[in-house]
Amino acid sequence: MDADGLRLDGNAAAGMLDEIFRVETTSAVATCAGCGASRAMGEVHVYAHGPGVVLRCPGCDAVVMRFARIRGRLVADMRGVRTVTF
Amino acid sequence: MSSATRATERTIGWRAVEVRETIRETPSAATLVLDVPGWPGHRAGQHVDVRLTAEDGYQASRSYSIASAPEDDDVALTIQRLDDGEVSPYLVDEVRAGDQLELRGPVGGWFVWTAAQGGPLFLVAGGSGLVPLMAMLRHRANSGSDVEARLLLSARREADVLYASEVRDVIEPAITYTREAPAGWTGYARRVDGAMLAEAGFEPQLRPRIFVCGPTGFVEGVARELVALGHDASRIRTERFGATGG
Amino acid sequence: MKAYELQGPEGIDGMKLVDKPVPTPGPGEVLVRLKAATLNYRDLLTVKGGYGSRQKFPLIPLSDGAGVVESTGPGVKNFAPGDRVIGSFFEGWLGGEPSEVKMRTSLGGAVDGERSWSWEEFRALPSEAITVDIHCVTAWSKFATGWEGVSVDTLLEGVEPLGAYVMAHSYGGYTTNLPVEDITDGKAWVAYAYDGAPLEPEHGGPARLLVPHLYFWKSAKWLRGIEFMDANEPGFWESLGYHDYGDPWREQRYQGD
Repeated sequence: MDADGLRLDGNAAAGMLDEIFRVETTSAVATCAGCGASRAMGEVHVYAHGPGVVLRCPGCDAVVMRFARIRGRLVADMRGVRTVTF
Repeated sequence: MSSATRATERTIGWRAVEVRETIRETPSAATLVLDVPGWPGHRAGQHVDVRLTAEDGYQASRSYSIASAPEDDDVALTIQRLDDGEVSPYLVDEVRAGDQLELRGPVGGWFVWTAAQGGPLFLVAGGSGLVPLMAMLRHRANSGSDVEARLLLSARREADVLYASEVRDVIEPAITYTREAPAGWTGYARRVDGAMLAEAGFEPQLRPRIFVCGPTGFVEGVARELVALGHDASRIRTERFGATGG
Repeated sequence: MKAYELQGPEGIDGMKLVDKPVPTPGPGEVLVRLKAATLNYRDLLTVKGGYGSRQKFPLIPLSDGAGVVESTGPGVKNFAPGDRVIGSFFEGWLGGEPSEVKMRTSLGGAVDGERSWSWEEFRALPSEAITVDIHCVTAWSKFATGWEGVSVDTLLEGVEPLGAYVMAHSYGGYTTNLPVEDITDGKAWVAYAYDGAPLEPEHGGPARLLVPHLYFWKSAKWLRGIEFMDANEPGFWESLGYHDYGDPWREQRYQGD
């Protein structure tokens, strides 16, 4: 369960993702470490209502990536993604 | 700013930009025309992030779709005021020419359409979801493309329709009013459903490129209906604006 | 056969790899050669000692596995050697809609050391109106917000805390850690209404934890349960760098503040 009505998609995280990966990221394809499904990052579910940003697999709802700004520095946990193909 | 001064490298990160002009589109929406030095150009469908910093240092940033066509010299954003919004009321009602904003972008390479990608093109907009789709339609007109395109626009009432006159310069839209239809209206007056999408769009066999943009519930409902009608999910691209729209 | 066995209540340190004789299935039992075992949350609780005081050692912490039937005991009619099988965690629920009755047939039976309420049971508990200021980590505060909820003290009535800390679990996998003393003695509630209306999902409804004296991310949304812990393990956001405690008056936003 997460805030369905506040669900966004990878487009909303594009600015942040571009700053991290330094290339256009929404068209990159990510493979979920939970269920193995592959999707464009633009399709991944994004929840940005809490203390950080959570990216979830549209198929199995597993957390694919999560980010938080800790003392001005962006902390990224990307264990939920097996690979990202740019 | 002319094309001769466009940088080839895009800037990643925040930069200061000046508002050159504000245009009131509807009672609750405004277009901001921005001066962006070194703007590298953009593709239709992309957006920018805008950041405001309060006197006490508190920062808030939001994403806004680029309304202007890639061929334009200007960068224009259209912002819809949300009643309980933190940022949009300021951008719609308070910002004046000469004010400064921080901007990051353009961003987004998935929810984009270029004339070279072909069609046919089916655009489905919920409220302010029309903004990036309008950029696509402007681009299509500018590039002299012969790609067939259809637009289905869902709006609460007539006063909320963005670019009301300009839309008809580039396409004959199908519109549905979900709260109050104008007097004498004989068109759609209900929430978008499968039957409406089938009538207003293209048949699945034509494999249209479909872009859906608007509030989350709207986008997810439309995407589900399109797949149920037989459209290939991989031809459908979506951009969610959140609970109450962008 | 080899097995990982919990020798005593020392937690993970009590786990030992042992050699055991292959058991003979008794009446109504089957012997399964396990090919794969999963880690069930119940196994974690068992090892950590939170699953119940009636555990007898040594025990093998296992709930779910898949394998091949090797032999069957007297009276077994439905299985034969060679059958490929998986264990059923809810022995009384083989299909269809879940129900409380079916879910009470879970492996090991009703858990000692676990207390649960259905929505009706929860709403029947004594509740109160709460007016508090809340402090968001992004440096804004909302004053005199009005809630309705059940005091955590009510939920913990008669319960002996099984640790000095708790992990609040939310649907969706979110967790947050708190000291027990910060959710007791009138400092915390499980809230189900805000501003006179049922709590919306966007704001953590149907029920969320409300701990106004700490930064608001500690007030776990979509509350599923509260688990006692001995150690102050970091939750979802804390493990990414947010503060373990979160006192707004000392501006404890991040680890090390």
